[in-house]
Order: sequence, then structure tokens, then C-alpha cells
Amino acid sequence: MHGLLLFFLQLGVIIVAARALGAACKRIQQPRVVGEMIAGILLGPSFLGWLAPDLWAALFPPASLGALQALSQTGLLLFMFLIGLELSPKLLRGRGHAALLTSHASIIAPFMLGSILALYLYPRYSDDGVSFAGFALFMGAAMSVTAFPVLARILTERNLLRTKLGAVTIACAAVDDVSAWCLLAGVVVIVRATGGGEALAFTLVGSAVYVAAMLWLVRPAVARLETYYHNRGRLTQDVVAVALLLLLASAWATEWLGIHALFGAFLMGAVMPKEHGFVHELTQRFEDVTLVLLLPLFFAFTGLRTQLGLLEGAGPWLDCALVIAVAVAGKLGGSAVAARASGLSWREAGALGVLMNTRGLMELVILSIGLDLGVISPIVFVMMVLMALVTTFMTTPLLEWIYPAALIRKETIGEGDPADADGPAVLIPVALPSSGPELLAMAQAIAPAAGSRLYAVHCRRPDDEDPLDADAAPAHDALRPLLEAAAAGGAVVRPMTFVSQRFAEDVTEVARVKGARLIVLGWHKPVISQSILGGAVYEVMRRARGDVAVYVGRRPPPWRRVLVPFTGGPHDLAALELAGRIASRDPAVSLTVLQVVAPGRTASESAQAAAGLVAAMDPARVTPRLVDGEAPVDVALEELQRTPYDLVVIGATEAWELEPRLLGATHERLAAQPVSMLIVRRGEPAAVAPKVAAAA
Amino acid sequence: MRDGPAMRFAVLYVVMIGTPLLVLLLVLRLGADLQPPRAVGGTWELAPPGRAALEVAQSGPVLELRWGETTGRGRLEGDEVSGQVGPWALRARLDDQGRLVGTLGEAELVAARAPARRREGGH
Repeated sequence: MHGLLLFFLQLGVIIVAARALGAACKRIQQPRVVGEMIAGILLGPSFLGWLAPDLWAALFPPASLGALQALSQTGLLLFMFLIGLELSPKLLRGRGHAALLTSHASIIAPFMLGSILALYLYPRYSDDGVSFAGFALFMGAAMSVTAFPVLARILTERNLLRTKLGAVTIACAAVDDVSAWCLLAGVVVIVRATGGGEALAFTLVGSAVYVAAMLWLVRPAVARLETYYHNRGRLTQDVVAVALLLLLASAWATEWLGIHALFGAFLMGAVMPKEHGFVHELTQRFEDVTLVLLLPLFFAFTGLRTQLGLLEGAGPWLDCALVIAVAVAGKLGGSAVAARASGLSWREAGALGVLMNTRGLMELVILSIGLDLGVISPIVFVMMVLMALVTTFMTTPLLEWIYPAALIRKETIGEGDPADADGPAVLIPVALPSSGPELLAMAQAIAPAAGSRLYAVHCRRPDDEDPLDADAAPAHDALRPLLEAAAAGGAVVRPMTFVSQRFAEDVTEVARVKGARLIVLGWHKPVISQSILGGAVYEVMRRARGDVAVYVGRRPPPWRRVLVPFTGGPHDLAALELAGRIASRDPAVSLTVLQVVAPGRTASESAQAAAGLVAAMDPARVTPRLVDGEAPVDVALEELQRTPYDLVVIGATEAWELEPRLLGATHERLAAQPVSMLIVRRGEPAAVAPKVAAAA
Repeated sequence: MRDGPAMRFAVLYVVMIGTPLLVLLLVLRLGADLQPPRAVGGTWELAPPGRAALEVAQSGPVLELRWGETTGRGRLEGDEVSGQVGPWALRARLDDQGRLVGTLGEAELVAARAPARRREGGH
């Protein structure tokens, strides 16, 4: 096959494999990087090469790997630049004794155990072309690495970022990051120091000059980029080009000095300005192409060099198990013991140890350097790659065991808070800040009692969290308009903001914990589906134990003319009940109850209950109307055409054609009307009749 | 006393950081006397010139061999190298000059090792 065609094919296969396995790992609560690492190994000689040797040989002929390697190295440069960019000096300062001791111990303990392990591995799997010191120091450095990005992601996804544990762990990981790369730079210098004292002196002196220049010349100079960014209000292509050129120059300098190009990339990222907007935007520019296109190439290239077949017989496999055990004992054990000694609880210390034990991609980067240098042999490379995979894979289940998500959730949402004990509660999940005040107005209008407790909840996506701001208090930015409206009206609203990957599950769990009998949430036009009761909204309705009201805001409050179409059933009854509350709290509200009955049918039990509800209302403000009609939607539409209403309160009853359907041409005709809507679904239908009876 | 926690931290730090450092130094001393297998990894240029080079990837005594498009496995025992590359058996030993001398299949083998293809610094 033509070289370029083959290259495109390789890219496609690698990206598909990496995305597919990454997504599969996400589904089982594993970091995406685990799937991408596995994809690389599966594309290598150990799986594809074994399963379909001819296909593998045709897809990855040795002569074609040069381009892949060059691109994967470029990806690594960008990745290391991003790692440096994310490294904030404030993560390294002022974290107290716990972080200082734990971070240093989490490096030195695995380093020591790794070097002890070298006493066993060196005579078996190395050769006399490598000095013991070089081998032992490399093993120590490789054992002590932590995957900062994976760790930060796990902390974010589990809502631990803003806890004490999260702050200490992030600080330790940041210190580890810097330390591991410095240590590795030293090891590389020692291993490469084969050219005698002159070459070593050149590298050492050159490195010192380079680091000094980066800190005292380059850093102040690049600080001007931040000023330029602020003046322009955005990141221009010129700034991106300058950043790229600086990255390449720094990488070139460290490679020329005899350390490694990746150190230059990392240090360039580390000295870049750390203003949040600048870092965020620069990261966004580089991140997608690096993570989606270039890094999978690195995983594939690493997989091509990972030959599991080298582990032939029980001996090497047992040695591999030993490597994994030592890695876990050093990193997890060392970090946990130090954290405990620093004053963290055993649970927190154990969780910190588990998190620090995550090796991820950083380990593969270091191992690739070691293999390129010849300081580790192919079989040690295989063992260490497996160690990286196992330690990354074990993080999530171990963390779940030590620090269960249920416990974290309990701590996050304050289960057992004495303040939650009294009175009924209403939960108001807010997605868009601008929708907050209207949702609050609706929640106040339909709350079970005038003095109901109100909880405003904003669920942030993990992508919205910034590990660099781990210390910041939970920001209620998205709830601010709602809170301001509440303060203006003298209402007390308790805000809650947390990271959520499963919106519906978390919202209904908060509702359960807070004893909320009503959830009031807004509806925003989805990207793909037009359905109102679809996606997360429907999921909340399905899961909630209490009533759920979905507000589609088209006319702002106050809602004076309210229509309640009614055919029967628990959801329509719930809608009538809520509409009754609106009317009871605002004397200016007039209510029209449009009861649609099919010709020849008698009123159902729920219709009788509705009649009881209507009878209890102020007759001057309620207009009950009984209409015969086969098609309730048409009757309601006619009423809306005839009379202008501000709000329609309607049950999530099948007759109103609001439930999600796969096919349906007349679907949601009511929802398309230019009037605000409140769609109500009653929780626990079995308990409806007694409630209504009591209300009546 | 205000110095109490600081003193405790200092003691902890010395124990938890200082002790492993000492162990590390001890390990480096102990390991200096270890004898790993001889290095045979890299490219071996076969005499007479013009024949395909023999590529060896070494993991201790385990050798991965590539000769042209043919691959195989080998083993290093002391100075003796044995293995199989496709249909060809490799029997050779490392002589005093660091050359591989023996047979590869039916043919005599004399190979000199080219500098290892390790990544070097740029200067």
C-alpha cells in the first residue's frame, strides 16, 4: 500500500481503537487512559500480531513506523507542555506539613523499594552495558511517578477535589511530578555520561544555565504574553505560534544538552503564565489534537514495543507480579503511612495512597525514555508497562472500597444535617444561571407549604472543574441570579454545587437525603432531541420518589391566567393540586380547570377527587369546565387558541402526548404553544389517592 | 509547648525520608558488585560485508533475534550464544575481541557489534 495511504489507515485504526476502548473503560468507571493503554497493547505484537500476524505485518510494517514515532513524539512534547502548564506554583507552596512529608515520602519510599528490587532484577534482566547505578536509579524514578492528570480527574469526578484529602493529594502529586522529572533528568545524565568527564560536565553546567535562563529570563519574558492576552481579550494565533516556538526551542535545548526533549517541553509549560483564563484557553487549543490524535499514537507505539511473549514461563510472570507488588507497596504504602503520620485519618490516608499509586500515561512516558536509552531491557519494559496498567486500573475499585462514593456523596450533600429535619423541602436543580429566578418563583408558588425549605442545586460537569483551584470554596456562580432573587424577596435558599457525572441519579439522591417532596427543574432545548420529557429530565421523573415539576418558561411571572387541562390519573391530579397552590398564594390568579371527558364515559375516580379539590378552592377564582372530546389535546389546543393564558399546568399523562415516543407526528403539540408550561409527574402513584382525599 | 508539633514533624521527616535515603546509598553500594550477563544487544555486522546484519534485543540472557526479515529467539549462557532464527540455528561464542564467532545455519559466522542504537544527546 502507498505510504501515505497506509499512514492514514494506521491513524484511523489507532484512533478508533483508542476511543472505543477508552469509552468502554469509562462505562466501567475506569479512567479513559486505561482503555487507551490497552488499545495500544492490543494493536501490538502481543495480541493483533499473535491473532492475525499477516494483517498486523501489513498494517504496521517496520519501515512505516518512522512517521508514527515522529508524530507520537510530537504528541508527547505537547502533552508534557500541557502537564507543565497545569502545574501551578501555588500547588507547591504553603500546604503544610502533611503535604510536605507525604509528598516527599511518596517519592522516596517507592524510589528506595525500586532500587532494592533492582538488586534482584539487574542480574536477571539487564546486561553489563548498563551500570547498576543507572539501572537502580531509573527503577527508583520509574516506581515513584504519579499520573497527575488521571489523579486530578478522579478527584474531580468523585467530588474530592475541594476536600482536605483532595488538596493534599493534588499538592503531593504536583510535587511528585516535578520531583520525578528532576530525578529522571539526573538519571538520564548519569546513564548518558559515557563520553567521559567532559561530556558530563557539559551536560551538568549546561543544564544549570538552561534552568536559570528559563526561570530568570524566559519566565519574565513570557509573562508579557499574559498582558498581550488581556489586551486582546482572547488568545490570538500569534500567541499560540509563539508558545509553540518556545516549546520547540526549549525541547531542542534540553535534547542538545543531553537530558531529554521532554524535560524542555515540561519546563516550558511550567514557566508559562498561570493566569487562569490564559492557561485554560491555551490548554484548550492544544488539548484536543494532543489527546485525540497524537497521544493514541504514542499508546500504539508503546504497544508495538510491548511484547508480552517475552514473559515466557512462570518465572518472568512471577517477577512481573513482584514488580507490581513492590510498586504498590512503595507508592501506596509509603504515601498512606506518611499521610497517616501527618494527621490524616486512616481512610483519608488510604485513599491518598491509592490515588498516588496511579501511574497512567506518565509511567509510559518514563519507560519509553528508559527503553530508548537502553537502561531497561525489553522484558523489564513489558513488566513495567503491565505495572502501570495494573496500578492505574486498580485505583478506582480500591478507592471505592476505601472511600466509597456513597460516603463521599453523603459528606458532599450533608446527609444527616440537623437543619434538614423540619418541614417539607423543595429541590431546585439549576442548569442555566439565567433560569434560576424563574425557577425560584415557580418553586415558591407550588411548594407544599409557604415555609418549605428550598434547596438550589447546580451540578457541575467534571470538565468544568479546575484542579488548579482545588483550594477555592465551592463556587455557586451558576446559582447566583437565583440567590440574588431569593435575597431580594427575603427567601432563604440553601445552595449546593457539586460535580456530577450522573445528573438524574445525583439529583434524586439529594432529594431523598433532604426529604424533598417536590423537584422543580427547568427545561432547555436539547441539542438533538426536541422532546421535553426526554433525557435527563425524564430520568429525574422516573427516579424521583416525590413529585417532579418541569417548567418550560415562555412567559415570565407573575402567571395570572392559569389553565389546568384534566383527563384523570395521578399526574393530572398532581397538576391540579399544584395549580391550586399557585392560586392560593396569589389572589390575582384565576384558574381554569378544563376537564375533558370522552363522550359516553362516566367520570373516573380521580375525576371525582379532582372535583373535590376544585370544590375546596375559592369559587370566584376557579372556573371548572367540562368538555366532551375524543382528543383531549385538540380540546386543550382549542382552549388555548380561544383564551390567552400565562401558564398551563399539566400532568405528564399519556393523553397529553408529552411522554417520550420513538415515532409520533403529533408529538408535543401542546408544548409547542407560546405559553409557559408546568409539566407535573406524581411520584409514588400508589400513595396518591389518600393524599388527594386528605387534601380534599 | 509550641515547638512540640514542629519537633515531631522534624523527627518524622528524618525517619521517613532520611532512612530510605540511607538504604538507597547502601543498595547502590551492594549493587556495584553484581554481575549481569554480558551485553550483546544491538546490531552485529556479519563478515563478509554485504550480508544482512543480525539484530539482537537483549533482556538479560534472553535474546530476540532478527536477521533480515526473519526473527527468532536465543539465549546467552556466559559467553555462549545459541538460538534459532527462522530455519537457521545460531551457535556462537563471544571471543576476547568482543566478536561473535560460530555458525549460523550451515555458514560460518563472524560478527562485530556496531555501536548500540541507544538514544544519545545531541551535542
